[in-house]
Amino acid sequence: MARTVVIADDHPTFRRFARRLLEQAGFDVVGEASDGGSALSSVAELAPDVVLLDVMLPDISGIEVAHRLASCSPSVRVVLTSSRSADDLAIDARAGATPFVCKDELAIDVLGELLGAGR
Amino acid sequence: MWPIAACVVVLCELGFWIHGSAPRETFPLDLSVSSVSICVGLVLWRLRPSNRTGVLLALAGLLWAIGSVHAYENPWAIAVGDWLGGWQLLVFAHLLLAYPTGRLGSRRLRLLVGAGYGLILVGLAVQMTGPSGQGAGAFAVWHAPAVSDTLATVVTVAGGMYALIGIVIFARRWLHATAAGRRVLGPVLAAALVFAATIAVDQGVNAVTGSEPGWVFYPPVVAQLLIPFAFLFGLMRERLGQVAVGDLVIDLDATGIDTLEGALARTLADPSLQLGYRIAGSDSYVDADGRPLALPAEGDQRAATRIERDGQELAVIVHDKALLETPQLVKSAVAAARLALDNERLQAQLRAQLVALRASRARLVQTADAERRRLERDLHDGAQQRMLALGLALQLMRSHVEHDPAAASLLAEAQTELQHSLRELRELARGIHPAILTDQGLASAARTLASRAPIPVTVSSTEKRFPPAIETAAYFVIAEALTNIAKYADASKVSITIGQDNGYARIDVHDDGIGGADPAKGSGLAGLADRIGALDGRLTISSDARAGTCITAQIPCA
Repeated sequence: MARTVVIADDHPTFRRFARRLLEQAGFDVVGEASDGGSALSSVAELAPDVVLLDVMLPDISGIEVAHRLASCSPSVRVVLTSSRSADDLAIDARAGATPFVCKDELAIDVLGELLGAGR
Repeated sequence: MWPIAACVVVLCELGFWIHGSAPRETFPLDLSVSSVSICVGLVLWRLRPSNRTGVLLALAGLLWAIGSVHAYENPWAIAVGDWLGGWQLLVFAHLLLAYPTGRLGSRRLRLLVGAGYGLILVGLAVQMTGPSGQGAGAFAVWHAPAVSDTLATVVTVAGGMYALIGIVIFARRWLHATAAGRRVLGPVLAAALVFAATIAVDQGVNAVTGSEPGWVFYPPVVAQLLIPFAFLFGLMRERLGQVAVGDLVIDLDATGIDTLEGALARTLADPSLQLGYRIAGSDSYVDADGRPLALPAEGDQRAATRIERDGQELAVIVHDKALLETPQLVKSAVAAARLALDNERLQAQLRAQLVALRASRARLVQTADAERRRLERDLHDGAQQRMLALGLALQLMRSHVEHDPAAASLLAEAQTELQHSLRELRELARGIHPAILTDQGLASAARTLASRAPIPVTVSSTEKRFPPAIETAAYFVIAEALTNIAKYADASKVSITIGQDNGYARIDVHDDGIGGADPAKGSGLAGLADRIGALDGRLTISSDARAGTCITAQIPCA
C-alpha cells in the first residue's frame, strides 16, 4: 500500500508539481494545506505517513508546526523544505530529528532516501 | 487730581498730629499705613499705568486716612470716617486678590469681591442708621437693637469667613507658584496671608465675645502696614535685580554665545527660561539647539517676550509668567543680550537645518531598507518559486525521455543550469536583504555570515534585537568587513563582537591580517560610513600591519 503524504506549502504551483513528483515516486498525496493551521488540522484528520512541510508559512513557521506534530502526532514523518538554504534559515541540516531539503534539490531519489520507498 | 487730594488729606492728618489734636494714640500707626500706602501706590501707578495695583493701593491708603477722622467726637466726622473709611479693608482685600495684574482673574473672584463690597454696604448701612451704631442720634432711622445686633453679628461672621477664604486663596497661590513666581510675588503674598489671618482672628473674637478688645485691634493694622512695604520691597528688588544685568554683560563677554540662554536664566532667576528663534519663512520657532519650540498659549503659566531690533524680531524669550511683573528687569537683560542674540539666531537656524537634514537621511536609509526587504520578498515569492516549479517540471519530464538518451542529456543539462540560476538568485536575494536578519536577528545573521567565511570566524553577540535600521546597517558592516578580509587581509582568524554599550549598539570586526584598510581606496567602507552616519552613528577603522584591522561601528539605539 502506498505511503500517504500531506503537502503544506503556501505556493500553489509548488504544491501542484510536488504532488506529481511524489505520485511519480509512488506516494499517495491525500491532502494539501496552504498554511500552518490547516496543515495541523489536515494531519489530525487524514493521519498521513509523511508531511512535506514548507518552513516559510504565512501564519506560523514550519519549524513550529514540526514541533507540534512531534508532540501530537509522533508517528508522522516530517520533511522540511524551503527555497532558502539551511544557512539562511539557521537550520541544522545535518543529522537531526527533522530532515531538511532545499526545494531546488528535491528529486525522486532524494525523497526516496529521506522517506523510504513510496510503496 | 485725586492723588493731589490724597496728599492733602495726609498732610492735614500730619498737621493734626503735630498740632496735638490727633484723637488717639493709634494715630501714628494710622498715619503710617495711609501715607505709605498712598506713596507706594502712586509710584506703582506711575511706573505701570495700565496695572490697577497702584490705584487700588493708593485708594486704600486714602480711605484709611479719611477713616481715621472717625476718632473725633463729632457725628459728622464719625459719619464721614465710618462711611468712607469703612471701605478701606475691602479695597485692601480687592488689591491683594487682584495681585499681580490688578485685575480679578476669574468670575469667582469677581463674585467674591462683589459680595464683599455688598457686605460692607450692608454693614455700614446698619451701623450708620441703626440704634447701636456710633451714628446714633445723628442718622438713626430705626430702633430695633436686637435686629441691629443680629445684623452686626452676621456681618462680623461673614467678614471672618471672607478672611478665611482669603487665606485659602493666598496659600494656594503660594503653593502653586514656581520658583521665579515665589521670588517675584512672595513678599506681597506673605503680607496678604498675614493680613487675612489677622482679620479672621479679629472678626472671630468679635463674633464670639461681642466686642473688640484692644489687643485684637493692632495685628490687622500692623498687617495692613506690611502690605505697602511688601510692594515697596518688590519694587526695590526689581531695581536691585537690574544690577545683575551688569553681571550678565560680563558673563556673555567671558563665556561666549553658547551659554546665552543660561546667562539670561540666571540673571532673571528663572531656570525654565528658553530662547526661541523663528525659522526663516515660517511661523515656527526652534531653540538654541535647533529643536522645535512651541510658544505658550493664552492662559499658560508661561509667557513669551519678543526681542526686536530696528523692527526685526531677533528672538523670543519663553519665561515664567511672573516675570511680566518686573518688565524693567527683563528689558534691561534683553538689551544687554541683544548683541549676542543675532549671532545665536543664525546658529540656531543652522542647527535646525542640520537636525532636519539628519532626520531626512535617517528616513532615506529606512525607506531604502524597506525597499530592499520588499525586493527580496518579491524575488522569493515570484521568480524563485517559478524557477523551482520549472525545476520540478524538468524532473517530471525525465521519466518521459528515459528512452531518448539525447533528450535525457539535454534535460539534465537544463536542470543543472536551472540549479545554478537558483543558487545565484538566492545569493542575489541574500545580498539585497538577508531574510534571516528579519526573521531571527543580527546575532543569527552574523553567525550565518561567519559559517560561510573561508577562514575561521568567532562570533560573540548579544541576542537582543536592535531596531531594523541598526541591524541592517550592522549586518552590512560585518558582511563588507568579511568580504574585504577574505580578499585582501591574508588573515588567519577573525572575531566579531556585537553588543550594547552606553546607549550605543557596538559592532567590532577584528582580524589578524596585514592591515592596510582605507575607506578612501574603495567605495565599500565609505558607503558603510555614510550609512552609519545617517543613523547618527560612527564607523572607525584602525588598520595596522602588526595588529591587523579593527572595524568598529557605534550606532545610538537608546
